[in-house]
Amino acid sequence: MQNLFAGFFVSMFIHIGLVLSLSNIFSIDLLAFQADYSQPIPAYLVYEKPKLVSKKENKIFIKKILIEPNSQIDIKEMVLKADEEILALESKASKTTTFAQKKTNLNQQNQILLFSSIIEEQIRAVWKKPIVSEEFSVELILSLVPTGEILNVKVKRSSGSDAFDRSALIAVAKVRKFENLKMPAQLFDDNFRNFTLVFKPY
Amino acid sequence: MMQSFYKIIYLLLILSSTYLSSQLRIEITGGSDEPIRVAMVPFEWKLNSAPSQYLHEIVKKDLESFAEFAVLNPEDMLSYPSLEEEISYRDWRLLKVDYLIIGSVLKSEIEGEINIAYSILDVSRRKNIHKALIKGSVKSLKRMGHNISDRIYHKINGIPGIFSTRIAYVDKPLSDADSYDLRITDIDGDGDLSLFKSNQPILSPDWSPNGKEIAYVSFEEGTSRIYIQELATGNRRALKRERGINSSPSWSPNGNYLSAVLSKGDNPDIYLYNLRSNAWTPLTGHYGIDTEPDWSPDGKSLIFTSNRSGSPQIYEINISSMRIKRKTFEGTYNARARYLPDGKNIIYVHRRKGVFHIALHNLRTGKISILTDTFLDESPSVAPNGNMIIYATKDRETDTDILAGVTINGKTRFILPSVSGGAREPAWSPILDKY
Repeated sequence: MQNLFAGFFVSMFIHIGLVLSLSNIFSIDLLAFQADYSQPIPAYLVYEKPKLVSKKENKIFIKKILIEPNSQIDIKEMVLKADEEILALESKASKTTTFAQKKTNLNQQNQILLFSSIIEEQIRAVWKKPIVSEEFSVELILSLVPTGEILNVKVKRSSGSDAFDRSALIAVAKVRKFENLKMPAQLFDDNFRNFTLVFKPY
Repeated sequence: MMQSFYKIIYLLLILSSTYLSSQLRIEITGGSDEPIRVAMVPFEWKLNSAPSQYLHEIVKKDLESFAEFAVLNPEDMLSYPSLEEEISYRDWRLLKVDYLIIGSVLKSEIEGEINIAYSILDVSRRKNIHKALIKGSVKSLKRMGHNISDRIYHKINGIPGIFSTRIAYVDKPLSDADSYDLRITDIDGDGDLSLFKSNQPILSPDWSPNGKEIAYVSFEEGTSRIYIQELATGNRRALKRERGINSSPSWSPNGNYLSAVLSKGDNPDIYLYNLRSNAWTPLTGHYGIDTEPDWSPDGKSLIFTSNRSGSPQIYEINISSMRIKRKTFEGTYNARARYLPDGKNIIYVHRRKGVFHIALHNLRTGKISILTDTFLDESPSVAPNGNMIIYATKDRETDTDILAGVTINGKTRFILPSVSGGAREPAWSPILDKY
């Protein structure tokens, strides 16, 4: 009997391990931790509930975030404002826990999205890619401190071209410190202390 | 014992995979469009005689010619270091310089020779990325300058520079209808010289892969015949002539074969010419017209123009299997195709709305992009680094034939300066100055 239990657990571990590692290899995001940066749909899902808050105001607010991520607006304040609004929405809405949970998740996704776009804009402004006819891509791992300063940068996956890799490293070296990255400590630790930057020419 | 061991392993496996997949990925697609900023400090001149030309001026002109680089003027520099220890990276960072080039010109023990020692430095990471010593004669300062430009270009862009390459073309002055002149020129328009003159047409020059010979078609005997001329000596030899048309020679990448067009089977077909045995063998045998062959960089296939479908289109033939595949389906006129050095892209003349353009065609994805917007663009030729194309076109203002160029991204256009009113059929040389 004991043996069967052990066998069951071992097999379970094997299967979970296989599924997770395979999903990682084929970049299937089973755990849905990664935000899909190109499609900021969740933001609209929250605010398109017409009963809750007047629709107009919120849409404008969302646009503001998406269009001017690196302008000199105080992001922290905006994020807090967003938090407050979400809380207001929650109190008005039916107080089922799953619904509220969903919202905080979405809100966090929005914030990750926002800060990612802030990072992206700052890198993009200084990255001078060499002319390449083929589709190169290089992956770097960046380590930040909460002030936005870049502590360390490593090549995770080289593009195969020294010149292309170097152009990415130079872009990171030029930024040195990301501006406008004030965020809750938990959010920073979970997402931005170490993250991967992928450089693609097209 | 074993079980707990496995458990630990899989626990680790799970932890590592969740760790990896949960890490944030941010993608940067496409960067700034600004040119790369380079500062080349005037090299320290350690010879007794004064320099005839300044290397930094040669390099500046070279690097800026395709708008990929912006080179800082020496007047705008804050210091003039010639050694790595003398560099104040802060100053160069303030000047927004990406790469700094320093060096000196030194005496050599051999009379009339000089040594140039130089370094390329990455300013934002304070790193020396390339260090070299090149030797040459005092008289070839310009050539050494081009050579340094090539090396800088290669280091920074990852593809070879083409500032030492040359272009062959046929000059037919407007004033003289019966004069044909096969000429070669440096790409900056200097060193333009005549290879062969005739009062009968000269067509389709093509460089041998080692850059030492040029094959072309001449009508000097009244009918077309293919000749090979050695550049160093000027010696010419003719290929065995066949009945009818002998045209469009194209050198194989290993230099052992020429592909060309013969019409001995009554209509033009592609043939191979073995340069060792001097024998022709047919490659295509269709009743349509097959012409303008070009070898793929790996030497395994050829592309050519054929009207077998009713209109001129580009086809590819695999030499070992002899299988022929049609490559172009868009439009009713696609001709004179040339491979890019990567073998994955081709360029050709494409007619759209009655206007002839040069088009870039990705063979894998089938994506076509129009590179030129002039009126009558013809006979494109690709630079050996695959980054620029030169072609013949009409200058609409003066109604003259000129050679014009465009970078492969379509962003920068240039005109070959030396050309005098009747230039056509350009052929870009391979890399000549090896480094």
